Amino acid sequence: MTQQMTHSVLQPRRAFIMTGAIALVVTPELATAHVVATTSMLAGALQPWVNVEASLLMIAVTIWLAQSARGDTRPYGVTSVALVAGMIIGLHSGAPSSLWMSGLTLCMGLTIAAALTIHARWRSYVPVLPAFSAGWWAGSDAAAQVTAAISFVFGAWVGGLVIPLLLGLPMGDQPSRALHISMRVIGSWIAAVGLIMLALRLAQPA
Amino acid sequence: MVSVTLARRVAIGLIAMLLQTVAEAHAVNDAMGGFIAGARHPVSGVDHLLAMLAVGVWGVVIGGACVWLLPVVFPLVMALGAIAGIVRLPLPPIEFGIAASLIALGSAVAMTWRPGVMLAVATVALFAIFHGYAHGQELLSGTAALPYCVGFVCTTGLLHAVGIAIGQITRVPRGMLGVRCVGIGMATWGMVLVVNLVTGP
Repeated sequence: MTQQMTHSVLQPRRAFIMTGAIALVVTPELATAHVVATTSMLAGALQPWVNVEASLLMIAVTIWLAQSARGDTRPYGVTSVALVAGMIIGLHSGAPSSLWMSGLTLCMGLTIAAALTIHARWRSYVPVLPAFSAGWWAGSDAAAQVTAAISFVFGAWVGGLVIPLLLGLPMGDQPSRALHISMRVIGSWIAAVGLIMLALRLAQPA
Repeated sequence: MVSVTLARRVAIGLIAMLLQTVAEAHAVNDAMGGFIAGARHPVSGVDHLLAMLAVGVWGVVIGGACVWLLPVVFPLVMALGAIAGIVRLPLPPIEFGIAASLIALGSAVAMTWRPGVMLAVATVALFAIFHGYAHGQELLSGTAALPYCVGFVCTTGLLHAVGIAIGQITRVPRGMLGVRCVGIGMATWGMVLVVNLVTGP
């Protein structure tokens, strides 16, 4: 009886899989459609982390979250939403001012280096501006190449949520003294880069 | 069995490298080229390299907050020095400043000098300006500015970390003697640089 049940349940599945496999082979455009969506999603997830200006801000946000938010996951969610909001604007308009990006990078770096404690009530609001700006910059940078905007933005949301969570939560969970110091030191690196970039932008003729 | 598996993996790797498209995936673009150029700059000269290591070692020798405070202050002030280099702010000959940093920091390590936190920070900050100035001057040679900055700041920080690791030798018996020898070596190299600069063309 059981054997008959298994047989009857598996038989339609096998047929379904075979039909699907044949369909993919016979109609390659179906597979292409999935490839475009998947690569767009992957590109969206990675774009804020491969663009240098945006990645500096996203790394800064992640370290700040690890340093200040500890186990609180709400700021991570806010970060990903702000990133997506910025990216949607970036895909439809020009990039934000590079002076603004440099200044924000400097501020975030100094905040991390100084290990400033923020009241729990305000924690969720701190990453909004840098994540939004990073998304805006990354979106405008990729706007010309994006073929499937919805997949791209969905990927950015997933990447903006998963990557900081994967990096930030383990770092923020009772960090050792060495890790605490490392976060401050990396904050000073980010601030140093922000400072140089700010000076470069100011030195450039308008 | 292990060697056969390893040989197969190496062979697969070598064959994969022959695939041009795969190789192109790792091609050095402007951003990567700028990062590599920036990352190489602090390790391309022994003077920069030893000075960065000395900051880390001295921080451990002093102990307390200086272990992390010196590596935090150095890149920030170095950035100011880099700005001075970019805008060509007139400074005393920076080569002498870099050599002086080696002599001073090397001597401080050799003598296990433990000043107050503010004096140590001020000393490191002073020399960071000269090193930053040198990096800033290199920036004008046409490399991608932002990746270049990220590269040299990261390498500088990692060299401080290596210096801190070298400083941990002080925890083992006679370790302090080893660290003193490292300091003597750094100061001597600084003196050699000064002699070269004075007697050079």
